[in-house]
Amino acid sequence: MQKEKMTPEESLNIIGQAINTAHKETTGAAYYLILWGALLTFFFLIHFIHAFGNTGDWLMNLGWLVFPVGGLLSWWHTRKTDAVEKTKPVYDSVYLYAWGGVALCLGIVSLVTSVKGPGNVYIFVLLLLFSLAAFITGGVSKFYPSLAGGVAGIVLSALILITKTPYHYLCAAAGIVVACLLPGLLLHAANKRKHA
Amino acid sequence: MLKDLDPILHSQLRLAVMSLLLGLEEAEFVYLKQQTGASAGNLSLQLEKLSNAGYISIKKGHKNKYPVTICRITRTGIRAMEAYTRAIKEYLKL
Repeated sequence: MQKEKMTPEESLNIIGQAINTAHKETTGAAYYLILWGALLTFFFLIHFIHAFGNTGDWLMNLGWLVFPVGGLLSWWHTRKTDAVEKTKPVYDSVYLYAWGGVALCLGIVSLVTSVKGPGNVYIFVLLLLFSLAAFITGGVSKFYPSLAGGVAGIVLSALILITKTPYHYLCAAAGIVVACLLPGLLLHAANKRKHA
Repeated sequence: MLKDLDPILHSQLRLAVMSLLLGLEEAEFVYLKQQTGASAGNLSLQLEKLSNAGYISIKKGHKNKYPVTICRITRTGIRAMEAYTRAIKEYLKL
């Protein structure tokens, strides 16, 4: 491919084709959204079952395992994909900074609430931040299921503040499904269609 | 009077590389070679021309113990592409 003389139509055609090719490169965000969406939904559901029905103590005691398991799987997947990826799609940094910011905020909030503060504040902040990240990444990348999930998650996070204890966990689980798990599954399906 | 087209961009391979990089944050040399179908030598030469014009930045490093070349479009490159597409539109009266 090397020709110095080109017509304007040919130039425009090359630009169009190349941009379409670049747009087929997808972000790897779907994996993390599905992984953390599924793990956190499970985590909040077992809390809800425990608080609502007063059962499932053994499962509840194992709940903390979702965080190291999620961390390990995320680290393993990042290592695996970094080794083979030859491009960095344009929205990768948006996902990285939005969700990285969420993780940082949650780390700080969890430190503070574990020392002093009510537990439900942490659940509220967690869902609010998750929903905000889904809203921002969905809006910037024009992925509307994530945008809509973000709005629904923000509404559900507000419900945490006005509902009684067992339902905090149910609102959190529902919020994680709409703001994280569902957009992740839809993004995965959209990526598959792009490559088909 | 119609504007002169930027001679750095008015070449099939360089234009294809710039358009690919416009839609990505960064791309490896191997990816650009695959997508454009150019030979490694020719692509290297054209990337150097784009880099000398300040349109792209080239970073060389290692990945899995293998050498890797990563290309990124610069702000100057983005502005040059915008000016180029404007000029093309004028030619085509779009």
